[in-house]
Amino acid sequence: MLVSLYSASTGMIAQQRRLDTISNNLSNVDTTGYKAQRVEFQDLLYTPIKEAGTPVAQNSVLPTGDYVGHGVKVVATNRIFTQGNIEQTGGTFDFAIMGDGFFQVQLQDGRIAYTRDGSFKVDGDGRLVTSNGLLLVPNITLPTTAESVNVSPDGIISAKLPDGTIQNVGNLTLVRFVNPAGLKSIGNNLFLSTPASGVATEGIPNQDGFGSIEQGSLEKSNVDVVKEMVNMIVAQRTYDLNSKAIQTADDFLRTIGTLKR
Amino acid sequence: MNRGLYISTMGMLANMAQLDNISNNLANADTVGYKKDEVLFKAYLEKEFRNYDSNDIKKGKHVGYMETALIAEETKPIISQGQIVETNNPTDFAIFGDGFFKVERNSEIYYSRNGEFKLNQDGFLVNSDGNYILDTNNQHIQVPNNFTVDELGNIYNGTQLTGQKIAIVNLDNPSKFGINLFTGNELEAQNYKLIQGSVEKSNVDTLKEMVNLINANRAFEIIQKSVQSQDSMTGRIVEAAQRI
Repeated sequence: MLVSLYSASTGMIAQQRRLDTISNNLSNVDTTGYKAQRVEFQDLLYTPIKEAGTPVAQNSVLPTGDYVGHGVKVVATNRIFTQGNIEQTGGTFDFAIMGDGFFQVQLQDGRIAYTRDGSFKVDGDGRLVTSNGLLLVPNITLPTTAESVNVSPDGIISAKLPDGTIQNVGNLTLVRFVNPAGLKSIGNNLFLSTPASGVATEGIPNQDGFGSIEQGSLEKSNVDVVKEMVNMIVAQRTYDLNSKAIQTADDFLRTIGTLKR
Repeated sequence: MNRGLYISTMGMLANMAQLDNISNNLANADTVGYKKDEVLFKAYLEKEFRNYDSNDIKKGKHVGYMETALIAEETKPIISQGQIVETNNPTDFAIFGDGFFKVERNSEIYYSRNGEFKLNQDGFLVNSDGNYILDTNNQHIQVPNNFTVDELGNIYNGTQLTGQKIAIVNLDNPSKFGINLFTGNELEAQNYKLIQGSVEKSNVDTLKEMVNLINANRAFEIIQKSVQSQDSMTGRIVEAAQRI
């Protein structure tokens, strides 16, 4: 059968995957700490009909070969870890990371997950937890009598007590990965480390290339809506074009079918 | 047998090769660093026709030439510049101008215009398949945090040169391997500009491909008609023979 029928269908499948990713990015456009994903494509292998460099006469070879391409495939859905916009919220426990790094939180099963979502809450015991109730690591427990809590750009958390004294209640730390794009997304704004991401290196905010902590702010997603919309248009058109190629391949087959009478 | 029938068949096959090529180009219209292919056709086995002298077949008036077939001879990648699109991702690179990146795959060197690179777990620059990108000394490239790359490919740590330079080379006759890779013989590349934080889109011109698609479709139909009329001519000969 015609190769084009199949190669054009790979084009449609690839664009569908792209649309899936764009839709996910757009639906998370307002998600705190969300990082946009991007689909990456690769052309498939080529079947050589004639290899380049085949001798055609003495001292003469084919300069380019003749080969049939088989379409396209999705090779990766890559997460782009550029900085998201910082939005002022005024919340005491809203921490945005300006620059490189992740917060660590402890999952129910004890594993450590990583997040850029810094909208923390205080639970009944005065501990800092995520919106889902996961404990921040290292654990920070605030004195129940604290009147106000302050976080410095380098992560030092201090509480002001009713008698006016300032008490240091702990230090926020951040972790960094050699290859954050290799992290595994598990939803709920959380990531897990993988062999591809490398191991987490812990550090103090605002030092050694780690980002600084901005209290009273949240990092919005880094989804660029205009770009996503343009990508959506491109995806739709490419999808259309590939369907036309399939229709043409179908026409060819019909024409072949009417050859014999 | 009727020579025209076979010539027509070759024509239809050539159109099918054209269609396969267009489909592959369209499927890869969005593939970063993809270079479109063009099918080159060649008239096959040219034959001279003469108005033969019945007494001496060596003599006779020259009538003209006829090609006995058309074949799709080559598929040639067209290495023209694709559009540069900004991504702001520090591990994305676009080449503006000549040249290819060097990629090590199964300890062999391939070439690519796709600059959607990543860092692996050890901080080496790799492509989406995890294959290493090579520097000018064919070494793997380990980059520091927050690295920057200048237009020539020199890698900086802040304002300091790390001493490594991303290799950009030209190829004399680039031919496609697939999976965004090319093969060919290395030449020195000079007219290039490396742009960090951008990627190069494919150079597929969808309008042109659609026109080619329509063209191939119509040509295919027309040749089919030619096959049919030759067939009906043969049919009439058979009928005439039966009447005798």
